[in-house]
Amino acid sequence: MALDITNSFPGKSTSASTNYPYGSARNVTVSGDGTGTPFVADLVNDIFGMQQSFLSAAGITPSGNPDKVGASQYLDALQFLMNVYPLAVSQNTGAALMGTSDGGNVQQNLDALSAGQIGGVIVFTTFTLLDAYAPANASEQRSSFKVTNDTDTSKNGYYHWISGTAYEKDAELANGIVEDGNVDATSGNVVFNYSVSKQSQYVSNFTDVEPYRQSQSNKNKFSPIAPVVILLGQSLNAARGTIAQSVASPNVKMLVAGCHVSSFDFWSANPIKSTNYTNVASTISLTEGGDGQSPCVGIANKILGANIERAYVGSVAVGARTLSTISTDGIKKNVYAFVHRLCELSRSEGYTPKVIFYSAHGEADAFAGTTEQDYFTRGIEYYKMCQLVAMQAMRDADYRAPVILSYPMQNSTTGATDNRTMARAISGVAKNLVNGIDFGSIYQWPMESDRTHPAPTGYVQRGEYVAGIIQKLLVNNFKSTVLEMIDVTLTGANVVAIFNDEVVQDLTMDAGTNLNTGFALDGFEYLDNGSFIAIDSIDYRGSSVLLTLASAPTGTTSQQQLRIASQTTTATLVVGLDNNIGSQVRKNNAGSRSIINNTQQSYDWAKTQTIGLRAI
Amino acid sequence: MKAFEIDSYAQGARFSDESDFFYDSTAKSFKDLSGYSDLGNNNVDVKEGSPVFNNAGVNARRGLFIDGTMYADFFTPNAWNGTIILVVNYSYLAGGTVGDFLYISGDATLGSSNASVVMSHFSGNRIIRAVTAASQVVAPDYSIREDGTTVVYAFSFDQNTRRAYSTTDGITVSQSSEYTANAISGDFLAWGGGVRTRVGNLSGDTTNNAASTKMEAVLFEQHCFTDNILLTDLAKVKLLIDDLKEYYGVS
Repeated sequence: MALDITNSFPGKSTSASTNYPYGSARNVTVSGDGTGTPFVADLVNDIFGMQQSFLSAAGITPSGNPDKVGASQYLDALQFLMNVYPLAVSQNTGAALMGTSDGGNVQQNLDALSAGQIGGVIVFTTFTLLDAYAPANASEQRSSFKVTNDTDTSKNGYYHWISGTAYEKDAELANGIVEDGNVDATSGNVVFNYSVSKQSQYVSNFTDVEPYRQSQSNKNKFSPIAPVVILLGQSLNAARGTIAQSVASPNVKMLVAGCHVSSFDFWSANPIKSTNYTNVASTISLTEGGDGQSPCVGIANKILGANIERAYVGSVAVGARTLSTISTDGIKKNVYAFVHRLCELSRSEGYTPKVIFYSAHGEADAFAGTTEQDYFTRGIEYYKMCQLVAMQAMRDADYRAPVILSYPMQNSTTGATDNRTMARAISGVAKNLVNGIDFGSIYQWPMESDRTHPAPTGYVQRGEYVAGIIQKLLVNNFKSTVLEMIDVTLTGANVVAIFNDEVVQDLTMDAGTNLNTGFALDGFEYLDNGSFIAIDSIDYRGSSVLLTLASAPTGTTSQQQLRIASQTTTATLVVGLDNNIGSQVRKNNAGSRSIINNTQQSYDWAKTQTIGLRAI
Repeated sequence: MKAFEIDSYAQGARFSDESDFFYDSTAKSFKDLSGYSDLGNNNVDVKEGSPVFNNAGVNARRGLFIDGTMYADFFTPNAWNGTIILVVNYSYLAGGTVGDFLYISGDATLGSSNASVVMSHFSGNRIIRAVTAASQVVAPDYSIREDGTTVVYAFSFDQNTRRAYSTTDGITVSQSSEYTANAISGDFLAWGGGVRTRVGNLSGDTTNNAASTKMEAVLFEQHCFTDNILLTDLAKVKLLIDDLKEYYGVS
């Protein structure tokens, strides 16, 4: 309720204006003219009513004394009312404070908030001190408590109050200890520094090698592969004689000084020294020349194609006959030089090198007291060394370089017994070496009259065949196997030989057939306690062969032997294939056509082998 | 820096029995740590005697005590060209002139005819140096101030530059003069001679396995690379040497 001045005092008040929308009081113009606003009860009560409404709303009883500055009940009432009722705030200056959720007033809640904030963290140096402390007030009860330097480090940390002087741990302090079993919290910096110190301690820590190996291996997968074929060992791989073919594909590279180590600068001075860097500094297109023919061009003839667009070929074969010689000194270092440089150069030319070794053992012999066991042991050590060098040069720890091994034909300085001994040793190496490949005997290609060295075209053909083995391996992941007997049984005069593949009789080549002709047939020879028994006939039945002997053996089972491609050569050399140790038994497959001599088809012929019998 | 983080790392060994990862006591073989050991022939194999392990150096690290009665060998992974980093502690038991062989690589009986790592003492100087297979080219040597000092010694022979190199800090690389006396043979720049390198023959005579009365050595680590990393990767070599020095307490 409130007076409308204009209506309550018509003619005796000022009309409504901006300052007084409901009118305002006025004085008389002339004394007694009756135009002044009258001082009447309504006017005074309008003011008393408002004042007393403040007091009533605030629950204040008038003191009976007039208000004054410093003692105004009306002001108290207003201040109270400002706390209790919504305080209107202009929308231009902020949002309205709508009271508190717990029903308290603003001051009470501000007090509570302040009390919580000043609680903070209360710090003790030892747990004993904390355990003896009771929070002083409600604010401290809600504080966090910290123990910093207790000698029992497990008691250091952050706590909250439960009751009385009881506290419960919330978190550990970061204490900088990194050790097994320690449960204290540790900062990131401490962990970092610790790991750095351990990295220093274990500079060779093997456990990290595996991801390194993987990364090295992965590096190799992003460029096309290029075979790096290294010819090792003895003189069947060494350049020799006249040139039948000099040049092959320009995409087959050799070291700048030549494909064969005998071409290099140092050779004339001392062949067992190691090469100079200038000899292996770069690559050029492969060509064979003044130092004679080797299998290198033959390899180059057939190694390209399918996924192989580039290859590298080099021969470190020397004139030495013994494994002990080729294992040592400069000859060994030349293996390192060839393998490492060809791998580096192939990488620099954008290829992933795949090292393959080929060793002919053309003149392997039993010199220097070499027995079958000794030859085997030295062979395993030497070729494993070569494989190790290959994986290091390729920087691929998972790679096992294939090692292709063939047997000697007829050593010019030793007899057939030694030949057979060496063949067994080399075959054993091929079978026991990881990724060894038994190439077997090599009697299908033309030889010189010494029955030891290939004719110039024979070198090339042999290389072509080796390239075929490498192609199958790298492109088709097919590991070639040599043709060999795996079981032989005897019943009366009937001998059954089981091969590891289907075999056929092939009369296009007469190798071995004029040696011991009275007893042998198709390259087979049968011995009963060291004496030959003639073989009358042979029936080829897939992978088995039935041999009918002229008479039933009389010795014990352990005295029986069947041989193939193992003849003893006659003393007189007669030029031609017929004088070579060999057989007329080969795998029943299409073979491969030679490039240098396209009338000749190469096959997998039965390897030089002697096998004992079992009775059935 | 780990050794295998440097390109061309080919073989490594820690000569300590602290872990089976370092030493196989049954096979008497220090295992290759470079990652090429799956073939089983990249380890350092004890051939004679039984290894004795001592703590040595400022940080008392575990290492192989070499007294001449024990030797091991391994396929030299960098026979033709490359780098070797060694950590070794040694003391002279006698004054005067002493020349002992920590490593011998080659087929000859005597160290003087093979590639070798030689430790010598003369005129009060204590020296470690490496010599090529043909005993022609010597890597710059390093003088140690006093007995019982651990040294990290990196040396290399480079077929391309025809020089030998060495460093003990990965910063200053000393080099030999260019070797031109036998320009057609790489033997004179090669470190490895024979199939394997022999570790631990102090006398220099491979037939003499008597304990040394002249010198004691404790071998801690070896790391072999097929590149001359003192030229191609010196910054990493420094980090590796720094780490080795910190661990073994080399000032």
